[in-house]
Amino acid sequence: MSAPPVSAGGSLRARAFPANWPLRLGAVLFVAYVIYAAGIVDIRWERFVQGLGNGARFLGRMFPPNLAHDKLQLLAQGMLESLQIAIIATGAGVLLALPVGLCAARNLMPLPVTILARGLIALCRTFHPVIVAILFVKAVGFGALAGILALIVATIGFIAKLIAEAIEEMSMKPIEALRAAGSPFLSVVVMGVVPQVLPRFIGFAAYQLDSNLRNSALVGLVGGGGIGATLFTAFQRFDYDFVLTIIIAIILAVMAGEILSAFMRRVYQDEAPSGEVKQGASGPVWHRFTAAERGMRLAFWGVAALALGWSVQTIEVIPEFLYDAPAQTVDLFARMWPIDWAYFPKTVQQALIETLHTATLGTVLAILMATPVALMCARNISSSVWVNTLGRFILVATRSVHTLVWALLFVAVFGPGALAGVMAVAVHSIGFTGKFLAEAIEEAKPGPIEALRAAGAPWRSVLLKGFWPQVKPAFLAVSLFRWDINVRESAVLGLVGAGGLGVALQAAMDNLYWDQVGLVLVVIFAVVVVTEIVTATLRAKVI
Amino acid sequence: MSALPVAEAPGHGRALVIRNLVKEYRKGQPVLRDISLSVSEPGIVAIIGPSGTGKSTLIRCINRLVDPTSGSIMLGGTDLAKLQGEPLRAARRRLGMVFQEYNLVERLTVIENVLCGRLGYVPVWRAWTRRFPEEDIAHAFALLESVGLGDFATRRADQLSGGQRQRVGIARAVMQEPDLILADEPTSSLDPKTSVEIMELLAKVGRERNIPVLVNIHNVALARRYALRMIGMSKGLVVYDGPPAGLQDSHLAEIYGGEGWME
Repeated sequence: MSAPPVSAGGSLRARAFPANWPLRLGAVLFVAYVIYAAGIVDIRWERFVQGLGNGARFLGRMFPPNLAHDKLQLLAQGMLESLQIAIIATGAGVLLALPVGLCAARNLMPLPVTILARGLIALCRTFHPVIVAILFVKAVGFGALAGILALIVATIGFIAKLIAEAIEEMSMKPIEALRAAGSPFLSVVVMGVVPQVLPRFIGFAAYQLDSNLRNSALVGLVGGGGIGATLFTAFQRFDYDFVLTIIIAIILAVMAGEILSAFMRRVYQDEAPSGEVKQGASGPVWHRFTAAERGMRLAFWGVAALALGWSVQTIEVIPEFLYDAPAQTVDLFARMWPIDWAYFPKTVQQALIETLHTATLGTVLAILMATPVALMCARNISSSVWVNTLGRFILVATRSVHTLVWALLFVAVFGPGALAGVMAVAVHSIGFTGKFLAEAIEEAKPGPIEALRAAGAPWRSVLLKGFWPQVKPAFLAVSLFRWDINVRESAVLGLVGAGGLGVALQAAMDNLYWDQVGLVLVVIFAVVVVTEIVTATLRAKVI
Repeated sequence: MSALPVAEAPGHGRALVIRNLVKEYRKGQPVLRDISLSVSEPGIVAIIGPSGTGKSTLIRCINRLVDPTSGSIMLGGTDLAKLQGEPLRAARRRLGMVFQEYNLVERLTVIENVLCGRLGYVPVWRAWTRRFPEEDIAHAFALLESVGLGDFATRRADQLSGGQRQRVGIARAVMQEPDLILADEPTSSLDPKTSVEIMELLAKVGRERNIPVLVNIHNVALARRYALRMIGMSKGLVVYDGPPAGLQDSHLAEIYGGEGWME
């Protein structure tokens, strides 16, 4: 080996590990910001310790979960209604999302159509389902219908976007061939587009059913019916032992939903039907499906139709409210106009800053807590099945309980304010962040890891130099994505007293100052749009 | 391989007459500069020429996967260059197309892919429910038999080899009962032996159905072997049009430029 080349003055020689000063400065500034923001939202050690004391008392009141007969009846009623809400919202939402998603695909549709469809999708996605639910409660009254409508909006936003992306990513070659054969547009769709996107579509729909089940617990908090309503009532009555029963039930239901959707994906996704050819009297006869395949499909659609029919039949919808809805909606928006801009400097500005702090602090805290859990889950790091399972349980449990429900709990522990909000955001985000981190770790190539181990590196070095460089892009992407989501969530936490824009929203609604409600909605809209632009820019830069 | 099913009434206006065809993707940079040619005789007509000279563009202008800038493309009395919407779709049914990368719907079965050739004829509900007319299905089975894939009807297209996929692609094109088949580099993704088999099949289709098969092809030797007529293109112009026997080294030098590559 020869000595490294040294240029004339030595100063030009490339260093193996050049210091990245902008990055270091950025890191220092970020830490400084976190400390400053923590001060603003009043995260102090004393409060935390005091909160722990409260938390112990609170937990004491929650245990043992209340399993009294009348409570279980209430629980069953609420869960059933939530299930119905989720089924109807998923069914109707997915059906409506199909044409919207198709229209948004830029490789099939003319530009003006895609712009319209994309606008609709963006509108559906901008507002948190809770805010949409609030508006629907005002328009069609309390109860399941408002919840269903809110979740339909959320479903359209989510599914249509993913369908559009799936269509844009499919191969255009077969489409070209079908066009060249003179196929009309719809035939191109059913024979060329559908077979290519169906597997992914089934995946989305299954995920959405489970997500709607989780969210149906949420819309109930603001009057949208279902188990959320039961939960909120229990909170207001300080029935904390019943609260625990409900939360356990929600976690179990969401877990069951996840297992079901995983099953559905496996049945429907992988193998496209192949059918069979039988010899008939006048030559071969083609059957699109074998008897077994036909049976499976019939069973699947039968169950889906029965579930939808049962839900529509039994759910309580007051028709008078429905007829009245358009008029009420117009009236609602009329009362919001003109927007009360004067409300901004008085309250909203402060609340806005608090929301942003909550989202950022919650995300930072979530990453700190999720990293060890992700390490526990990753099978190429923790070889113990017990550790894996425990990690996975933590992920599912934190994710199953929605941020707003966590906020209710933390408000009871820490008192109203942004601290409860930060904790709620952080704890709920563990599941999401940890899941994706664990997957990224498991996807890391074993080669470099083996090389480091072979060189006798201790496990800390293996983590730092073997795994971290491979996981880093995914880590940054997940953190940014979660922050984006957390900004939206932080904006509504105030509805249950956990600080931020939601407090201003609740105050304005309580006072029936609809012009102020309008202002808060506009501010939330602006924040969401700006956040999306910021994360998109950062993502392009960092990753 | 058994004989291909023959179209019932061949012989109606199958002449393809291209006049002064120009295509510019970017203004002032024509890819096709004033192409005029006519094709009416059955059998393989091979178009040769270097990459980027507009062979694919020419083929794609004919069935309007690419819109020509100016000129006319007459087929049996209609100007394909001027068609839009429903009349264009009706005209496309008469032009079968075979692609370099087969362009099958990977997740559909072989028989479904072949039946895709009927999409221009059947209403969308039949496509959706796969209730194609009996005679179409019988025809599809006969075609699969004739391209040597009789036992593959319910295989998914993504389980086939390249040569098998191209056979499905050809069956799909023939399924349209076309007056003309366009083949855009049908052998470029295949090994030499399979390439020969595919050219053989295309020649057979042209012969038995009595229709012209316009083939873009890079392999000059293969083209010479199967074509009844060869069209040499260079820089967006036709520089040779005649029988394979008349194609001299001097022509090839003009078409491809230089001579070193001719061994």
